[in-house]
Amino acid sequence: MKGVRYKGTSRVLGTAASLLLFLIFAICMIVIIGAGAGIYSRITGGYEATYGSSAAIKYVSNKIRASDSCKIMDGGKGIVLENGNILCVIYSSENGIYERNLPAGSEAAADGGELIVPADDLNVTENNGLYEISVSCGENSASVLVRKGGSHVENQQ
Amino acid sequence: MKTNSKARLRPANLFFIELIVILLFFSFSAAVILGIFAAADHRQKHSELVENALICSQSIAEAFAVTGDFTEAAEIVFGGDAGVSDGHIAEIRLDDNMMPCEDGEIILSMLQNTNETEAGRLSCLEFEFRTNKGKLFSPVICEAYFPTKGGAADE
Amino acid sequence: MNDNRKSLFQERGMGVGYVTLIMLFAVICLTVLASLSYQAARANDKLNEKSIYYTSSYYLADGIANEVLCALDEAAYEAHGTGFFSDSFEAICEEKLAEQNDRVYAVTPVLKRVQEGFLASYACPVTDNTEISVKILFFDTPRDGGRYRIEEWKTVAASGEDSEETLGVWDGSALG
Repeated sequence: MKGVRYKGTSRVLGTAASLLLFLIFAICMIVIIGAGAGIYSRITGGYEATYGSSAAIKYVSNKIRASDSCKIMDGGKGIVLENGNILCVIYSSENGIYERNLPAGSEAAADGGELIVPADDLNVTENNGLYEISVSCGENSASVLVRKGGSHVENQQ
Repeated sequence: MKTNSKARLRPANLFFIELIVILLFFSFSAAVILGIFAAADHRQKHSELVENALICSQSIAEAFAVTGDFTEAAEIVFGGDAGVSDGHIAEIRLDDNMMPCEDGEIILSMLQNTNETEAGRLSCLEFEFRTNKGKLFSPVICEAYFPTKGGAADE
Repeated sequence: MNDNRKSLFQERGMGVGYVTLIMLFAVICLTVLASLSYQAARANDKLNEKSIYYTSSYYLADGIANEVLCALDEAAYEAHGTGFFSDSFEAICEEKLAEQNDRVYAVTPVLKRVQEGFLASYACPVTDNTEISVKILFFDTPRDGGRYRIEEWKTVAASGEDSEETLGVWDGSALG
C-alpha cells in the first residue's frame, strides 16, 4: 500500500518535471525567435532608413556634378539643374523626392514629376560656395556638401 | 526485471527523454544561429558606420576643393568646434554620427601637402577614418588648385 | 471509469514526437531569419564597397584634373611672361605636362585656338563609364585679373559621342 502511494507521487513529480522542462523549452524558443525577428527587422529597417536618405543625397549630388548650372528653388525644397537642352527639376513633395525633366527654357514647376526615393524632406541651402543637401527619412537624416558648378572659377582669386 | 524495463519505456518517461534530447539539440542550434545573428548585426552596424563616414568624407573633400585648406574645410563640415589647429596634420575624434566628440570611437586623420608654384598653389589632402579595429576604408585623396597672380577670371 | 482515465493519462503522458515537431519548426524559422539577416548585411557591405570605389575614384579623377589645370596655368603664366602667348603657349604646355607624373601626362589635353585664346579640353576617367570633362579657356591677354576661365567641369558619360545618338523610337507616324 505504501509502495503504491510512493509510486503515485513519483509519477506526479515526473510529469511535473516534464511539464516544467517543456515550459523552459517553450520560453527559450519564444525568446530566441523574438530576438531573431528583432535583429532581422532592425537590419532591414536600418538598411531602408540609411540607404533611403544616403541614396537620395548621392543621387542629387551626382546630378549637380553632371549639370551645367544649378539653381535652388524657393524655400530650398528643390533644385533646378540645367544640362544642355534638358531642365531637370528635383523637389520634395508628398513623402518622396521627385524628378521632372523638361525642355530647356520651360517653366520649372515642382509638380508632375516621377518618384525617385521615398523620403520625408529634401532641403538644399547654399553657403560658402557649397550646396548643402539634406534629406530626412523617418528618424534618419543625412546631409552632404557639394561644390557649386563652376565654383572653381568663382571662388578663386 | 521485465517489469522494470516496461516501467522505463512508459510514454511519460519517453516524453521526458525526448525533451532532454530536444533541449540539447535546440540549445546547440540556437548557439549557432545566434552567432550568425550577432555576426549579421555587427556587419550591419559596421556598414552604417562606413556609410556615414563616406558621406562625411564627401563633405570634407568638397569643402576642401572650395577652401584649399583642411582647417577651414573641417570648420565648414563640423562647425567651429572641430578643434583642428593650423598645420599639415590633424586628428579629430568623432562619434557614430560623425560629429566631433572627445571620447568618440572614430578617428579622422588628415594630412595636407601644398605645392606652391609661381602661377598658383596646388593643395592635396589625404584623409582616412579609422577605429580601434582598423581603417573603415582606404584613404581618400582630394586636390584643389588656387591660382595666384591673376589666375581665374569670373564667368 | 475514473481509474481507467487516470491510468490512461499516466500511461500515455503527453504525445511523444510533438515537441520534436515544434522544435524543428522553431529551428527552421530561426535558420531562415538568420540567413536573411546575414544576406541583408552582406548586401549592404557590397553596396558600401561600390560607394567607396566610386567616391575614391571621383576624387582621384578630380585631383588629376586639378593637377592638369595647375600645369596648364603654369604654362599660361610663363607664356604670358614671354610676351608671345599665342606662339609659345602650346610648346610650354607640352613641356609642363611632360614634367608631370604618368597619370597626369596620360590625360593629354587638346588645345584649340579660339577667338579669345586657347580652349583646353580634357577628360579624366572616374569609372569605366563616367569621366570628368573639363574645358578651360586661356586668354591671350589676362582679363578681369584672370589668365583663364573654366567653361566646363562636370561628370559626363565616358562614351560621350555615343550618348548623343538618338534612339530609334516610334515618332507617332502610321505603322507599316
